[in-house]
Parts: sequence; structure tokens; C-alpha cells
Amino acid sequence: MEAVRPNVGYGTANRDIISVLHRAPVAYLVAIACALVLMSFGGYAWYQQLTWGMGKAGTNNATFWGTYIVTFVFWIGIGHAGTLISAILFLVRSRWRTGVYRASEAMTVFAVMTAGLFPVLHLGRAWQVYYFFPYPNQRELWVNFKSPLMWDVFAISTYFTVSVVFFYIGMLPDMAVVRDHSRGLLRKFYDVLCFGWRGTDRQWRHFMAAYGFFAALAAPLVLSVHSVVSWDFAMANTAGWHSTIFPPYFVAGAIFSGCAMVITLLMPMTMLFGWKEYVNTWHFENLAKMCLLTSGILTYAYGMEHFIAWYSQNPHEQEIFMWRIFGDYDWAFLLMVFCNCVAPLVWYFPKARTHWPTLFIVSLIINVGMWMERFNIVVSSTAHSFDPAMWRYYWPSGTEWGVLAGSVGWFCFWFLLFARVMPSIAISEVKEMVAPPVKGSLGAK
Amino acid sequence: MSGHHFDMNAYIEPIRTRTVPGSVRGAALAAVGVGVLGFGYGMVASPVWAWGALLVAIVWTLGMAQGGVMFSVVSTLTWARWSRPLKRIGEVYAFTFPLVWLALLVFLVAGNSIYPWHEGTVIEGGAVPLAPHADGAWATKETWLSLPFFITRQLLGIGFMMGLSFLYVRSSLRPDLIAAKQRLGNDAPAWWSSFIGGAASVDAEADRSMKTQATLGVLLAVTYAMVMSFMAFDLVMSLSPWFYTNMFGGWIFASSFWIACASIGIIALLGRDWLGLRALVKPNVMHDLGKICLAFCMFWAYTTFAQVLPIWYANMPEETDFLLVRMTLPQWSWLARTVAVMCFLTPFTVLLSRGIKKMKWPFVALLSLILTGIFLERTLLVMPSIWWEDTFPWHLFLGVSVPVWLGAIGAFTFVVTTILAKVPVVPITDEKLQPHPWDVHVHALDGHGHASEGAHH
Repeated sequence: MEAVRPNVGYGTANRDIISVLHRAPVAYLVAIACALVLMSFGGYAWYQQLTWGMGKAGTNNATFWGTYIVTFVFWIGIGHAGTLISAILFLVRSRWRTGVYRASEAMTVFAVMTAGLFPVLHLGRAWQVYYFFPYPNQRELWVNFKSPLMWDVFAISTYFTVSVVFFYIGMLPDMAVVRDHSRGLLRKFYDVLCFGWRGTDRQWRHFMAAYGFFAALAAPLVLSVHSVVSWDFAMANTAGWHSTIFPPYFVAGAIFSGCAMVITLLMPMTMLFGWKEYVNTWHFENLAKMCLLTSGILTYAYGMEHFIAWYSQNPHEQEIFMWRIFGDYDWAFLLMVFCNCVAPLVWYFPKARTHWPTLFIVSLIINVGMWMERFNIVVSSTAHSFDPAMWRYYWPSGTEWGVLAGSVGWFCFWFLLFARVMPSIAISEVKEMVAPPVKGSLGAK
Repeated sequence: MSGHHFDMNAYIEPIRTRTVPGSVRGAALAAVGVGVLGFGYGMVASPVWAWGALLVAIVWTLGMAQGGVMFSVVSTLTWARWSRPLKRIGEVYAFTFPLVWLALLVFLVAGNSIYPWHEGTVIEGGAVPLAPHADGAWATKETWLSLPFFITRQLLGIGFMMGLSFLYVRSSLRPDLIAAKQRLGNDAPAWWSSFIGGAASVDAEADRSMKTQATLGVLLAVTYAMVMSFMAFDLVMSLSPWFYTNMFGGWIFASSFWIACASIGIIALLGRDWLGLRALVKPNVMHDLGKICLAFCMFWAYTTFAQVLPIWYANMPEETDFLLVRMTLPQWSWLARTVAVMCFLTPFTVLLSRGIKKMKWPFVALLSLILTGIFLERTLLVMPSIWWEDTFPWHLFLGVSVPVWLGAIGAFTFVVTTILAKVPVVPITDEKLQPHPWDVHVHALDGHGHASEGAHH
């Protein structure tokens, strides 16, 4: 569908977007409560693991990386769409980003925060997490810089830092709007947060320069982070992991899952907070198109992996890829293919990608599919490696399911909290889209 | 339609008299002559190198020609406006397909002996046995790399992609040719009637064209990815039968799109006055094209690195061999370094500059560097697999590879300029050639107390 311009005035845009900061609908409070319940599941599961040791997890000698790594990669992937939508679509001057990019950026920051929990959770002795970082010490012990896991530490922390700064800079003018609509201590609070923004020409000039700069800086990071994550697997000689197509394939998958998650999160929020004027079918249709494109790339990558394994005449590659289709985890493979390759095809039909219930349901299916994709990669290759004597069946334990649920709760909690504290739609950019308030127009009312 | 005034006739009227400048036509034909002579010399001096040089030229030209059509497809599917003035140039590349397909046919029928897996191979050391090295592996290569299957699937696959592309280009051209024919009458070239058929109404055809382009565009995007990937696996990667990397197909089709963008930029800049594009192809369009080239430059480096790093790290013999030959043997390593400089270091550094993208000659020079860099990259992929001497054969490179490549450029230029001279050089009936309505700024008072509109670029 063609672009839809918000049919409001500047003042109405301010009020509509900020109103959620002043009142909380009941459904919002219920959602926060659910998030807290899930978090407490996760907290309890982790407590059990800390008390009784890593044996509480379902991992075994063969499948030493279970759902912790699966979920870690899943959340890192979710964290990609925000920067893609905010930085890359900004650079290519795509108009539809305006309504959705702020919430997507928030999603990125909180998803990376969630992913960051998992290396700690996976440690067993979580208090020794500082071993990850190269710090000067008397024993001259250093981290292994040749390990892709170490590259992860640097890549993800860089991505997180740049994403947070980019996110924060973008919010400065909007935080000033919130300040101007607040009183008392709250006003002071937002005044500090927006660095005393007054909207002068000089401030806007610097703002635009900084925003463009960070957009250009963040864009390559979208590619680099998930590429480095993919190398956790691709660098190994493990059959099914050692694959040169992994970096772009992981990046495409990340964007795919991230865009689907934006639909999943923003659609209920839009309905709950009455934002249909600012976030509408036009935005969701474009997100669906992004998912279609990246679904196509994923399908291509799945196909190429299987073809080259067949072509290679490497018995281990041939074995693992056939086992994925017909072995113990065939259900995971089929679920992955259905969710990531087949279900999104419905969006080829304009009616389906402009129909909200269909959009929401397919986006949920994609979220499941992308978790299954990582499960399929991580678990099948380790459960069925080179030595048949080491073949084991892995199934996540209750502790691992609890931690997974806790991560969902943790993510949703931060995201919901953000929605009540900061404007989730970019007010200043919305105003660039609305018709100027000339005499006789809505804005002049 | 916005308030922007677009004079369609400005792009129709020149068709009456426009011809390819004699210097361009002469240079193109001379290049073809040089190519034929070079190939002839190669067949005498070293048939293996000559067929390899022809393969490089085919892969390079096929990628660029198909990439040109894909440039149009991407513009259509993304509703992009900035690239519309360049869309037709890319579409015209489809007219080179018959030549490229014929060259491929000749190569596959007469030059297949350079494949080491072929029983009648002329490569030093004889045919490579294709049976698996390991127990328990399926013998897949004997099936996949059997000559009849190999030749048939390539000719049919690439032929299908070309046919689909031609249908797409025809649907894009139709409404424009109808509009132009209404104006030109009998001055319109006779061959247009085969494109126009019985259609009469410009508006109806323009609507239908957009729908057809959107449908065929999606099909083409899928076909391009698949056919170009298998072209890369078969024609190039199988020259080293034991080597495999699943990124290879995507790597080749992405760089093909890149050189198409670069070549479109060169034609638009050099032919700006001849084609009357000055009003539409403004510096900001070139700036955007430059940014696309920069993005693909980074993507090329990224996908190259994505292959080199895991192969180097895992250090498995069936993979490292391919890299070691190209990166460490003295007869090839200089070429690998040159490719890195021409395909990444130089374009990346220079294209960071905003100004250079808006300057005609420096930008043309840089785009030419990219085209040359990818030619050298394809040479680096093909030649070390079939040339086992321990010195680099400069006489063959300069006497065969370069002339054959120049011949391909000459033939390509001849066809593209001949067609461009006789079609509307921009999609005149495409409403996205006009600025977006939101970019047409409304000035409340224009100084005379009247509301006015102005196109904003």
C-alpha cells in the first residue's frame, strides 16, 4: 500500500504519543505482572543451577551447548532489526521507519541485554564472569584472543555500546518534549536526560551530524555482530557448523526474526495505546516485506548448505545434513522449515500482509521458527558428531526451560518499562511527516 | 501525479535522429576485433589459457548483463525513485543475452576440456578421479559433473533466466514504446512493433506493465539467485573439483550486481549529453549510485572475508589448497593482492568521499577500476585451477585474457548503445520517475500571496 501520512497536528502528535507516560491501561499492568512472573521462574531456575551445579541443565558430554546458546543466539538475532530499521533505513531514506524505529531500537538494546545474560548463566560459576575480559593480572593470564567466543565479547559489547548511544541521541529532542509536558521533579529529571535541549539551530545542526555519523557507524555493526556470532560455529571443524555461508545467513536470519518481533511487540502496543495514526498497516506491511526478503535468503542458505554437503563427498557433512532431516531431531528441522520458509510465503499476498491478525500470527510463527533454527544448528551437530560412541539425545531440562521463560520475562519487563518512561514513537520525526500547520489545516486548529 | 512537470516528449523526439557516435561504434567494433585476434592467438599459443580467458569473459559479461536487469528489478520491487532515471540503461543490457548465450554454448561445447574432472581434459596431469576419498561417502560428483548433464543444465538454466529477463524488459518497455510510437508515427523503429503488439492505450498498458514487472521481478530475483549460484558452482568452482564453499554462489551473484551498478554509472555519465539525461541524472543520483557501489564494495569484502577466515582457521586440506595456491604462490599472490586493492581498498577509501561521487571523470575512473578489479578477480578464480606452470604467463594474460575481455566489452557496448539510441532512455510512463508527493514542498506564500509547489531534489 502507499505511504500513509499521520493526519494530525503537531500538538496532537505530542499529546498522543506522550499520553501513555501519564496513565497505564490495565492491560499494561497485567503484561508487566506476567513479565515479572516469568522472570521469577527464570530466577528460581538459575538459583537451582547455582546451588546444585551445571548438572541441573540438560546438557551432556556430547551436547555441551544446549538451549542456553540457542537462546543467546536467538536474542542477539532479535537485537538486529532495531539497528537495521533505525540506521540502515535512515541511510537509505526509507520513510516507513519513522513510526517503528524507536520501539525497534529499544527492542535491540533490551534484546542484547537479555542475550548478555546467557554467557553468565552458562558459566556455572557465574561470579567468575570477569574472566571473559582481558584485564592486567599478576599471573599474566590472558583470554584466548584466537577464540571466536572471545571475539563475541568484543563484538557484542561494541554493538551494545553503539546501539545505546545511537538510541539515546535519537531520543534527545523527544525527551525535551516530555520535559515540556511535565511538572516538578519529573520535569527536572527529563531536563537532565535531554541535556537541556532547547531545539536551537545549533543544537539541531549538531544533532543531525551526530545522528548521521552514528547511523553510518552502526550500519556495519549490524553485519559484524551476527557474523562474529556465526563464527562461534563456523570456525569449528564440526560437521554442519563449518560453513562459509554462515555470516550472511545468520545476519539475514537475525533481521528476519527481529522484524517479526517488531510486529509481535508493536501491534498489541499500537492497539493498547491508541497509536494507529502513527503506526499502521503501511508500517507492518513493510516489515512483512522485509521478512519475506530475509525468509527468501534463509531458504536459499538452507538449500545451499544441503546442496554443498551433498556435493562435497565429505561423509560427515553428508551424514549430518541427512540426519537433520531424517534423524532424532527431524521434528526440529521440519518445524524450522515450516516456520521460516513456508509460513512467511502467505505474505506474498497483499491481503495477508495487510491483515492484522494474519500479520501477528505469522510473526509469532517466525519467532518460534528462528529459535528452532538455532536449536537445529546447535543441538544436532553436537548430538551426532564424528564418533558414534558419543552420540547422545539432548532434551532441555526444566531448569533450562525456566531460564528461557525468565529471559522472555526479563526482556518484556524492560521493554514495557521503557514504554512508560520514554516516547516509543519518534515525535520529532513524526512531525516531519505530518502536513505543515498552515491556515485551514488540522495543525492550525 | 505531483506538481512536478515532466516533459515526456523531450525523451521521445531525440529518437528520430539519435545514432551511436561514430567514435563509440568504431571503438566497440575495434575492441571486438582485438578480442577475436586475441582468442585466435590464444588458441595457437595455449588453448587451455584461451578457453579460460573466454570463460572469464563470459562469467564477467553474463554477470554484468543480468545484473543490469536486476538493477531494474530491484528498483521496481523497492519502489525506489532515485534509480528510475537509470532503470532503462540496465534493462537494455538484456539485448546482449543472445550473444552471451551463444558464447556460452561455444565454450561449453568446444572448451569443456579445461575442466579437470572431464575424461578428455587437456589440463596437465590428466583427469582427476571423482570417486570419494573417504569410505561411507556418497559418490555425488560422478553424477553431478557428468558432461551432458553439466552442459544441459547450464544452457537451459541460463537460457531460462535470460528468457524471463527478456519478458520483464519487454513489459517495462511496452507502455513507453506505445507512447513514443504515438508521437513518432512512422519514424519509430520497425522492430518496436514486435514489442508493442496489439496494445493501444498508454495508461492501461502502464498499469498492466507495473503489475507484470512486480510479478516477474519476484520470479527473476529467485531465478537470478539460483541460476547464478549454480553457474558459479559449475563453471568456476568445479574447475577445482575438490574445493567447495557454499558462499561461492552468493559471492559471485552479488559482485555481478555490483559491476552492473558500476557500468550503469559509467554509461549514464559518459552518455549524459548524448542520451539527454542531464535533467534527470543529476549529481544526487550519482551520489546515490556511488553509495550503492560503496555498499557492494563492503559486501564484496565481507563475503570474501567470510570465506577466507573460516577456511584459514579450520585448515582443512580440501579447502585450504584453493586459497594457498592463490594467496601464497608467487605467480598468483601478486594478483590476489591487486584484486584486494582494486576491489576493496581503493574503492572503499575513495567512495567514502561525498564529492568524488558527484565528479564526472574521477567517478568514471573509479567505476572502471571496479569493473577491472572484478575481471581480475574472476581471472584469479579461474586461471590457477587450469594453469599449473610456476611462472605467470604475462604474454598470455596481455595477449589473450585482456583482449578477449576487451572484445566482450566491445560487443556489449555495441549492442547496448545501438539499442539505447532507439528507445526512450528513461521509463517515461512510470509515475515513480517523478518525485514523491511528500518531496514536493508546499510553500504557504510564494511572495505573491498564492500557494505554490516546488519539486525538491
